[in-house]
Amino acid sequence: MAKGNKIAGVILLAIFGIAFKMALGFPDRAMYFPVFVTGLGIFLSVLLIIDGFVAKEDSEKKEVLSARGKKMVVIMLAAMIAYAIGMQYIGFCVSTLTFLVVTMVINFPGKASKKDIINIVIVSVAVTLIIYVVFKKMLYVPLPQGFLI
Amino acid sequence: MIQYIIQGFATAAQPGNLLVAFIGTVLGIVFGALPGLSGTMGIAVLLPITYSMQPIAALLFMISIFCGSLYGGSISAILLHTPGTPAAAATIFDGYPMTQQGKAHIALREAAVSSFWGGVISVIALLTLAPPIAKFSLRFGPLENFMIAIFGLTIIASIASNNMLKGLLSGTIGLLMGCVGMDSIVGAQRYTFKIAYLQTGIGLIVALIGLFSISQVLTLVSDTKNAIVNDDLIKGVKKEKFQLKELCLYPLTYLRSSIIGIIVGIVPGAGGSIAAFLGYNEAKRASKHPELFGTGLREGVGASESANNAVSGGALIPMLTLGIPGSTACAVMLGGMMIHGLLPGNDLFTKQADITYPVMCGIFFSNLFFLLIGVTCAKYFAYIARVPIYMLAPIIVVLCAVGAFAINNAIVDVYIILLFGVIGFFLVRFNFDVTPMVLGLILGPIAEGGLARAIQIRKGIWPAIGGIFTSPICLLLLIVSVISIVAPLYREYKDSKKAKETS
Repeated sequence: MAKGNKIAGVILLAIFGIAFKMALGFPDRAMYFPVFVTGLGIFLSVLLIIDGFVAKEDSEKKEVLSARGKKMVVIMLAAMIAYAIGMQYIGFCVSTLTFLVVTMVINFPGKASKKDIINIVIVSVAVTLIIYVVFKKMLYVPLPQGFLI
Repeated sequence: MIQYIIQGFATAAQPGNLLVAFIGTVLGIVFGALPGLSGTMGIAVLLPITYSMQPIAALLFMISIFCGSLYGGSISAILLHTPGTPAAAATIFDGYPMTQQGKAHIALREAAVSSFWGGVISVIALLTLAPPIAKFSLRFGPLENFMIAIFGLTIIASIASNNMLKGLLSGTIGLLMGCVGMDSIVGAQRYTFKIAYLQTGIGLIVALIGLFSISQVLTLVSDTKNAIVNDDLIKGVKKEKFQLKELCLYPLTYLRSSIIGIIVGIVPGAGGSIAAFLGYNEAKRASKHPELFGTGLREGVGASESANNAVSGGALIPMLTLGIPGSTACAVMLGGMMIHGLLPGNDLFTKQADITYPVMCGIFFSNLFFLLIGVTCAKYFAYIARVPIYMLAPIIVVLCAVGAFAINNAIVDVYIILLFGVIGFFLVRFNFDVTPMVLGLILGPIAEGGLARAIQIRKGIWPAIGGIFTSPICLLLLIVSVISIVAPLYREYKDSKKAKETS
């Protein structure tokens, strides 16, 4: 984690540094707190970077993400962004159903058989319907609307 | 107050409220039993269900999920050797050996019974302690509010004692996020980047859904190892008639653990896992046969479970009276309360007593429900842990998106939860604890607002700071704050000294 601490420290130092500079431009009474907070953030980030150089490599153990793990995170994130865009423009039901089927198939460990895919489709349709009926029709919770449902 | 409590029980016992408490408890047990999910996530994900409810039902629903999840964690701890929630980690010590010895049914019953006692004792503490504290909070001026928030923030040092530096940094990130939006004193725009959405600041619920639920989904999909469920162990749970005497086999242990749980619950951010370990250790210390702990002792399950469930009432005390969430689940509930127009403080116990007391009394019913479920059909909840991650993760994302969208009817909130999800995921990967960040986000604006008003009233920053030393409440809070920073540092120093001596 020592390398991780250095990376995290540098990223946070950059964020707090920019925020500190911006805080100096705030009107008088609105700047005290952000200046204090960002100043503290800069100080702590520097300490973290120093810690990254001083600490032993194995002082904090964290499992390294597998190649598949990394790939899944990126795919899931991309799918979630596409889902949000889909909800806005296409509509809740269609995008939810598509999102559920696609991500369940992608996340499936190994290769999904025909039976597995049928199961996934059934679960996805059921979940979409239940959420739509329970939230929209029974609880009157607003759901995003696009040009489809 | 007695009158309020009687009325509270009467309202909570109405069929509609009982139904809501029952559904909330069952859903809470499900979220608790599923390894990787938690009560906090359960409340965040199911929050939109409460939007159209009356405030009593909405709060009761959230609190029932919280209570149910605290108990639910024990089921997978006992049957699957995987704590459903971190709070149930200590339950494994004796719970799983009992399962291996073919006594899973006894362990499950003990978990339900002891959790019930923990919950009930904590409700009593909540009903008796919260109103006077809330009344006392009326004496708080801006400086006292500032110091309360500072005290809450210093707690970060103790909860992040495994890596204090990262805990403090996480808290500072939270404080910075709390600065976003229009400043409450002079109306200046801070870190809004001319985006209209950011003018009102970062929405607490949106941030919490992202930090706790979306980041957890990313963690779940990145971890290819899923819980291995041994069906034989679940099927092997014997059916034996429940005997009434089983309802209170270890009264002293329940009481001791519950008191520990309540105290730990009151401390912001400390949480159920610390309570459970403390409760377990104290029961072991007090026992005549400490060597039997860890070998499958029924009392061991009772000690940890009553402690982690007692956290529920304890954590609600600072949340309802001072607006300081005792746990992350309470932070989400605090956001949910605000959506229903309820603000922490004395008004909750006076003007809005007709809402608050039924909710507090309703916790008792929630505890009763999981007791009944626990002694009759707990093992079936273990089957829920078989729901594969590849199905669970996308469904959680959909629920999060619905929840985020429904707050303001705005799609931008869905993007914001994704952003916070990514932030939360990377922070956890870099070994940062997210809890201090939430404390910072909630308490930062309280601290700043309090200090700014104090400066305004006392006409200057130095007179305001001087005021801290002349107000007895502020002085007391200052001392407690200093202790909460110094104590973990001292403990760390002592531990390292001990380690050096032994090596």
